[in-house]
This record gives sequence, C-alpha cells and structure tokens, in this order.
Amino acid sequence: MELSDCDASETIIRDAHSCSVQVSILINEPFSLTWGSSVVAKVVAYNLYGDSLISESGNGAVIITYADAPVNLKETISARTASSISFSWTSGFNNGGSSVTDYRVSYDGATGIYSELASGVTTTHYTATGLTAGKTYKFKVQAQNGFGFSEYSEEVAILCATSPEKPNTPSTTVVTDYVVFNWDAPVDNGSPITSYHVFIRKADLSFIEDPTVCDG
Amino acid sequence: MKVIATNDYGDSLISEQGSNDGIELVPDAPINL
Repeated sequence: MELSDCDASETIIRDAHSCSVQVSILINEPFSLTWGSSVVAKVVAYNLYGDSLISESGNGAVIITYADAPVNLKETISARTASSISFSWTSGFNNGGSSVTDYRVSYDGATGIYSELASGVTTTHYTATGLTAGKTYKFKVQAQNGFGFSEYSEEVAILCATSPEKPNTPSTTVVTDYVVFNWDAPVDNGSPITSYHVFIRKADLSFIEDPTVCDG
Repeated sequence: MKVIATNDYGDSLISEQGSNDGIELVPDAPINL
C-alpha cells in the first residue's frame, strides 16, 4: 500500500530517496501493525519509459514504545516487620513491543515528594528496609524496556507496622485480699496496642485465660 | 501469669512466666477447745 505521508513522487523525496512516516500511522488502519512488529517496505522506480520491477523487502525495523505501567501494586502482608515493607506488582498488559528488563521503585516517606528508592529491580517484588514503625510510606513503580521507562503505576500507601513486641515478664503481688498483676506495655511496633491476653497459672501448672477474672 | 499484647496487626509472642508471689491467708480458727 502506498503511503500518503511518503509520496515518493514529490521532488524532495525523490531526490533524497528517503521519507519518513509517523509510527502512529502504522499502528492504525489500514496498516494495523502491532508494537514489536517489523516495518517492511518495497519500492518501485518510475521514469518516462515505465515502472521498474518491485524491489525486495527491506530489513524490517522493529517499532517499539513504552511498556504499560505496572499494575496491582500491593503489600506482601506475610513479610511485615517493624522496619520494612515488602510489596509486589504485576507487569502491565502491553510491553510496548520490547521485553521489560527491570523496574524502578520510587517512594514518598510522608514528605509529599517522591524519590527513587531502587532501580534495576529485575523481580516483580521489593522490600524497602530501614523504615520507621508507625510511619506511612507511599510507593510506585515504573517498568523499563528498550524504549525507556513506562508511566508510574498507581501508588500504594502502606503503614510500616506489625504485631507488638513480646511483653516483658509480668509480676504478681498479693495485696491483702487481692492479687495484683502488673506488666509493662511492650513496643507497639507502629500500631497502638488494642488489648492484652492475660493467662493465669492453675494448680495443675497449666495456664488459662479467663476474661471474667482479668479481661485484658 | 503470662501476657500477650495485641494490635491491629496481630498478637505478640507470649511473655515469660511472671514471679510466684505466694498467697497467704489467716489460718483457720482452732477447734476442739
């Protein structure tokens, strides 16, 4: 099919024997090329005496674009700690015709400004370390292919927190007719302590939790 | 006694066993007087 954008009858194109066509034209009808496919051309020369034979096909340069942004960015809950956040993502639907080689992770530690946290990440998961318990961090990810970096993924905001530290050894004191149980509040690891479970030892040396006696 | 602390992210490990403070009561009254 002849291209209106590459009208080789024009003098400037004829003399340069070169023309260019926007890729966006080639990915739409009637060409309908997909990203990653080869662009191949053939040429016929004309003069006053007629047409030449048609040339052989060209080398077939590959058209590529940015990959789609990563999706499904979410925390890996099983990996929570008081100083790290793990999260994963999925590659976007379209790789732009060029394989995604790695990802770039950016984060915002409640400053309102994103900065690069890691680049060259070749997996679809990452663990940010050295974080502060109780602080909410935002993350977003870009995919890189042969054309460059994709748009950012949707951001995800994650509170750096996990279950409390183990309480220190509690004490018991008999005060006249009462037994007083005391313990120190442990480090909450970023999320306020909502309750305690108190276990009291029975005569048979086993421990039992009885909220009717001591509801923590 | 032992204690577990809980927050929105789950339970802590259980503490070590606390001290053993004995419970003492006044003795029963003498009988067969």
